[in-house]
Amino acid sequence: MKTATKKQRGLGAAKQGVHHFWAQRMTAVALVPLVLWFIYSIMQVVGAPYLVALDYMKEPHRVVLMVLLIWASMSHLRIGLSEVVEDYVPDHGMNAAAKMLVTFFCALIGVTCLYAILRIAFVA
Amino acid sequence: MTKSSPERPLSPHLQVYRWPVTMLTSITHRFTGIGLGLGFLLLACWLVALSLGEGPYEAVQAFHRSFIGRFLLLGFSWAVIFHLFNGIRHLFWDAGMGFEKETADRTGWVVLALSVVVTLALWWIAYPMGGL
Repeated sequence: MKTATKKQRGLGAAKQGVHHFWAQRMTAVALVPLVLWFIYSIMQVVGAPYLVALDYMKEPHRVVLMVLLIWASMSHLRIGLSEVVEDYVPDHGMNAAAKMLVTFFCALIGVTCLYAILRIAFVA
Repeated sequence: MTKSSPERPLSPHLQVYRWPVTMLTSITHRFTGIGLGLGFLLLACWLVALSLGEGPYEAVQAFHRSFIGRFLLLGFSWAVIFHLFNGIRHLFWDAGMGFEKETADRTGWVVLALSVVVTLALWWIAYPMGGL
């Protein structure tokens, strides 16, 4: 506890209790248009030859939208998978370990995708 | 303690309860969510291959055209579409709309049917494009 009881009494909750709930809804709302855009875009390059696909993905607005898609997806996935762990892993140690694994997985996939996007944009 | 007779009614339980469609969509939302997390590996592989050059890209494309590749992509695309549609349904619920039993049942069936129809339609369009 950071504040003395006499100072915090009557001030109400810290309004942080719904942080994960709210973050999951925000990323969900962001992901609706992003995923619709992604489905449309990926349909344009299905089976495309290398150079066609590369030029397509290099397009600046696509790079920006892909970064947003990956970012929002991994944030959403981290909260969602953590929720599954909270529901099904009762042991405290296992629970903590599983949540760490979830976080590391999302970070690894997210950063790998971001690296690839930036490489496509600036190097390939 | 007397042994309970087998004729006595059982309490509702996952194995004896007739599943309403809302239960089916709920657990499917969770399963597709987990599946999408794993499916993101497919996207990661495709992006990394595209960033590395023509060789890796062609290798990934060849995997996508294989039986296992197509099966995974079909599952992934359906999972994306189901989770998207059902996610929109959840957002309406969060806003306090459509939570009545009949409405929730109806939208559950709509989401299930629509996810299959849209997935098949997209594959029907994409199939001739890339020899997928």
